[in-house]
Amino acid sequence: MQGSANVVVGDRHIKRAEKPNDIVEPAPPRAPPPSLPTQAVAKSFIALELICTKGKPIANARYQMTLSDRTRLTGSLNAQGVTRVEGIDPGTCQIEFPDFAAEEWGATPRPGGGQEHIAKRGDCLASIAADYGFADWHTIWDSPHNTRLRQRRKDPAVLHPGDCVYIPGRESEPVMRPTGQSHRFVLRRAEIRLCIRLKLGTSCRYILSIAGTEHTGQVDDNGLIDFPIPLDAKEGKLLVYPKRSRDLGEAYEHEPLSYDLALGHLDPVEEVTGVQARLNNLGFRCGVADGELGPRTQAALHAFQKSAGLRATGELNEPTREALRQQHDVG
Amino acid sequence: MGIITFLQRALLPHTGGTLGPEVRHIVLAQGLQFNNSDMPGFCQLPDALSAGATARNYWKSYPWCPQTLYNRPALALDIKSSTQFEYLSTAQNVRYIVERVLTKNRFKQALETPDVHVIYAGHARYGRGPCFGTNNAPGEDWENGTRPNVTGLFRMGFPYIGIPGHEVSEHEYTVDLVSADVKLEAKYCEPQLAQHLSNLKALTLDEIDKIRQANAVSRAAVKAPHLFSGHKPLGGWGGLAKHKDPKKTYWIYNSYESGVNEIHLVIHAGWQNTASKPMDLDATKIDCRVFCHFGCSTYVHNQRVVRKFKGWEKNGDAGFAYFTTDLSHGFLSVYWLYHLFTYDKPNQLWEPSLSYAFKKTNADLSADKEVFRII
Repeated sequence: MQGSANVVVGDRHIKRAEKPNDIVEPAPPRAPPPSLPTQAVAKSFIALELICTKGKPIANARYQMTLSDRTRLTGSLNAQGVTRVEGIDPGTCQIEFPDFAAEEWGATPRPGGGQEHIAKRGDCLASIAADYGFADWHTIWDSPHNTRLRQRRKDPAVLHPGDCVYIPGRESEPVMRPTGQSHRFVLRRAEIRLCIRLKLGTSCRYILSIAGTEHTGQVDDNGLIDFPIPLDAKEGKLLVYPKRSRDLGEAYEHEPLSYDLALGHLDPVEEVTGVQARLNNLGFRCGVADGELGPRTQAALHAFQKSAGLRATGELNEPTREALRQQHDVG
Repeated sequence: MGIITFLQRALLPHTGGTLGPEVRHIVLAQGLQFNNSDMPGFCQLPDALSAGATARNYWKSYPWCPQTLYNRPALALDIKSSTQFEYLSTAQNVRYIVERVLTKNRFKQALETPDVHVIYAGHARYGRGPCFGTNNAPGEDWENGTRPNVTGLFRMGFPYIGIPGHEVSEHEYTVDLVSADVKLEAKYCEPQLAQHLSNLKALTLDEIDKIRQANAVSRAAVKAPHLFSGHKPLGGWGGLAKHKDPKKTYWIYNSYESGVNEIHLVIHAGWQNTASKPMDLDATKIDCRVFCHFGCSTYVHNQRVVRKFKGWEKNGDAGFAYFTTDLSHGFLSVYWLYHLFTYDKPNQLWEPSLSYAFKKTNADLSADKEVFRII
């Protein structure tokens, strides 16, 4: 196997898989055994595999193993999300994946170790999960400590500055697995997709730059731009080249429309700032989302209500919030 | 820098947001003489922009009418109703919604609405202000209105203005003459009146009527005889003067109007505490983004009142105002809208597209050999 090597630990040979930088810590010295006749013990192996819920390998994830003789072995899975350690004593090994919170790879979380996070502008469950090293925001959202938060903010995508979020501890209780077998662990990892619906009334070409990756494509006049994005992506740039009005020829505009995307900055529609930001995105400009229901916002509300077939009053009411949610929010 | 776009964080299962073109509302307030029913086909909106049958036929039949739009591509308007049409500029990322209104209260409401682009196209009433009704409307619709919240004047003029005598004869509305007891100061007079303060005369209603009658006969011979058939006196029972004291004297002067030297009456106009209140400038909190006053000679008539007296100023990318330098025409709105719509760059700020429309409209007026410009 490429990259594999034999290392000698004490008087034992351990053939471990893959990475040359794997570290083997010898077991602590033991008291000499009573004088029994020396008996050759058959060596064994253990193999680990880590995949996501869709069956794809989790490459290069770190693992920690404590062998039956208390030798600690640390290393990284290979590109296929696998490692295999041979030449070890039979028994049970304690397994850990320190990159991931216990619940995310099927372990039982160790009690305690949690902390509180006060949400700031731009925060949402996904970004907080990324910041605290969680692969799945559900781990945080579903914590019993966040019951009140769930009641207050029905959509975990949208937090409001000042919201208190409980961050559970990440460490796990020991996970014991026998040698002589391959063990598969399934990592629960949320897939994050950015979805922008362009309703510019015409088909468009676009360039989306996000987290160092550039996506280009074309959408029709009701088209969706839909890409997976890293959990911690916070901003992006979207350039849109709309197709020209039919009276001006069948070409695309040369000068793009430019959008600076601030991911996670959208407040809940229950907040005036959330209403203002949605109105702005939909084209009913009401200026900076300042939370004030001033004349400009009222005029934008009036125009939106009229276009949505609602009673145009310029007042913020529940039918207007619902229409904004339906017309703006995707997914 | 691009448009700052706050998006929902992607979570369940994927979210983000919807982006639409900016919606900009234009309220086209059509007043006396410049509304669709009073204008020739090539000026009627939206037909003139989309080059509909009426406009095309007119251009073909009357080669004397301005041809600049005829040779341009027709715009693909989305005509929603007889009073509303839309145009989507993909280059600007702006959807223009144009609402054509014909009443004073809708005009006032538009002026008071943030971010609306208001255009008044209609008779300037010699500086009294926008005026609503139709060409064949009853006389009072040329002054305070038969339905004061709907028709007649929305006053935004100097306190005192001069009007030619035939104006009253032509439309037969009640006129509020300025008593010769009032000392007129130039700063309160419409600039054209201010030029005549040194040659004002104080006459009784009877004296004024005699001169008006003589003027009307000579003017009718030159211009339009049918307009003067019912020539009503100012004084006496059934006269058109608001106050009919036969002993009092009122200010008049003589000046040329459309090439005819005739009597001009000095009348009360104004913008504060007017006879049209609350349909006047003082009782209106202007909050719109753009105000185009496309009546005749509105720069002289109303610019100082709106900008200086009322104090409505340009403020960053808001508070734009445009006026006309001389006798205007109904097609001015058509030119303006055409160029505003066809500006071909992304348009976050309003000023670039307005500047473009301003320059191109004046270029068209020049090409058409028109005397007036917008300013």
